[in-house]
Amino acid sequence: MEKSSISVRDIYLDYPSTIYNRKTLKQTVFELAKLQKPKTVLHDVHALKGVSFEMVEGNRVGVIGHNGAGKSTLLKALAGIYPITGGEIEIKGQLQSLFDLAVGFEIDATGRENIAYRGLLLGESPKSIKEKTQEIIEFAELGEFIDYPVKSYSSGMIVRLAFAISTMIKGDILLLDEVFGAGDAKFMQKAKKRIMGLIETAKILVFVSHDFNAVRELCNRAIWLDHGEVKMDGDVETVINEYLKAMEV
Amino acid sequence: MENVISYFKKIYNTRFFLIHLVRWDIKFKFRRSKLGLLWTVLQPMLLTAIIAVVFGFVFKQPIGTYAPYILSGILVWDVISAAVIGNGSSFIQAESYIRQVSHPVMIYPIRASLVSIINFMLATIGLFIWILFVYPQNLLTALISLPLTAIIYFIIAWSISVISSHMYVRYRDYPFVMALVMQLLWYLSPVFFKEEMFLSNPMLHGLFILNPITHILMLIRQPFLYGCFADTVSYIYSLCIAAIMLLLAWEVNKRCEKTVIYYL
Repeated sequence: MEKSSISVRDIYLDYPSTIYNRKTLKQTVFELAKLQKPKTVLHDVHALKGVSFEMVEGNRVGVIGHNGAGKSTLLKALAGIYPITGGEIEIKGQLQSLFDLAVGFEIDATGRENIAYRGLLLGESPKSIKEKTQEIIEFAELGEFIDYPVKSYSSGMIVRLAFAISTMIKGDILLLDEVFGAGDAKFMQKAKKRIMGLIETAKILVFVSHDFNAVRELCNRAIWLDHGEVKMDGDVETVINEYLKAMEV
Repeated sequence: MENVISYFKKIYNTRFFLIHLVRWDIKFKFRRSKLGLLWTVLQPMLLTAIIAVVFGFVFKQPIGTYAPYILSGILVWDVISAAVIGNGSSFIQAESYIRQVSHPVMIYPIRASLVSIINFMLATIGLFIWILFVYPQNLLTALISLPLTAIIYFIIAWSISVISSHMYVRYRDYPFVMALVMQLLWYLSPVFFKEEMFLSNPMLHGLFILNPITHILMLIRQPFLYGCFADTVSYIYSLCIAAIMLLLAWEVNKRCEKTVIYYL
């Protein structure tokens, strides 16, 4: 089997200004006809500026940096959700992404139907989902609620179900965003165990976090992003120490 | 060419998800209303009844043969107007999927157009019942011609839906503007006007012959109402429309696909 790897060469990602300068069809036509003054324009946001790195099997990379440094953007670019404006991303291996867990449920469908839904969305076949359904229901601890529409669920139940489904599917490369509080304390314990299991089986981990202890615990390499650029890339302790030093000043 | 093949491969890889979405849409549609499937058949028939009575009186048309003419027009019109207006929301509806997974976005208009074609097929039941009484000899031809017609309609509907989805996601006033445009087009198309009503004015008749919707409608009207396959001209015309729309949709999608996420 081919070895998994991520190769990122000099990527740029701009959020185009057109999103903030939204226009209606009417405005566009009227502006073209010079009947209306153009709205004042905002400029592009440069989220990633010339980021490069290589990741090979066995790398467990923690990505750190202040808010808005481009960490989550980087993760989404790797997942192919945000288009890069320049550079090249080459990925070998099956991606598995764990972020935005609680979105994307069909609230009128039952929990059981949603398992099928999300499983298929993530690229599973109907057969493999059938095999995993029971395990997912048990892990999410939903009991009889699994046959109720999702709109009757509490937010904790939704997160639990989402977590159970998304972690049931395995990939070679795990993209992990720290932001998931999965249910109550007891479930958190279970969830943590499950994540650890996933990390162990994954060949490459990319983990975005503000929690240095978690990065120290889970990763063997760290990348420090600052204003969309790689400030430092290397050993976890060194990078975190440098980062903390810079923060103190 | 390679790009095209790999793109379609990507679409094919999402087939289970796509089928599930379509099944869910159909199921949900029927779950919501008490009449369920019956409503899909009844709704266009009731609209036909109204138009047939009013315009049958105005244009002095015999209801028995004028009604299936209108009904066939309405069924096709529903597919087209759904593609131009309703299906435009397919990206917005799929927002949570687009945010999570990088599937080709063209699958969401496929979902919407498949639903409207299935809806169309179900609604033809009403048309079949009607011609069973007025033109029973046309039944077989009508049945044989339907699959190809449905495929052509699907390609046209899908292509238009791709374009309308990209428009709607960028310009949120799109459906309001298009609703007006479609209203105008409704009066310019032979949905309920018959060809002989245009004969008095050569310019109007010329426009009638050039109107693509005329030929698209022929695909269903000739077999159901006259018991013969549509003219080759109509088939070629419709296939050309389908091909042009598909190419156009492809170009639009190539330019806009990547940035859809930013407009959601």
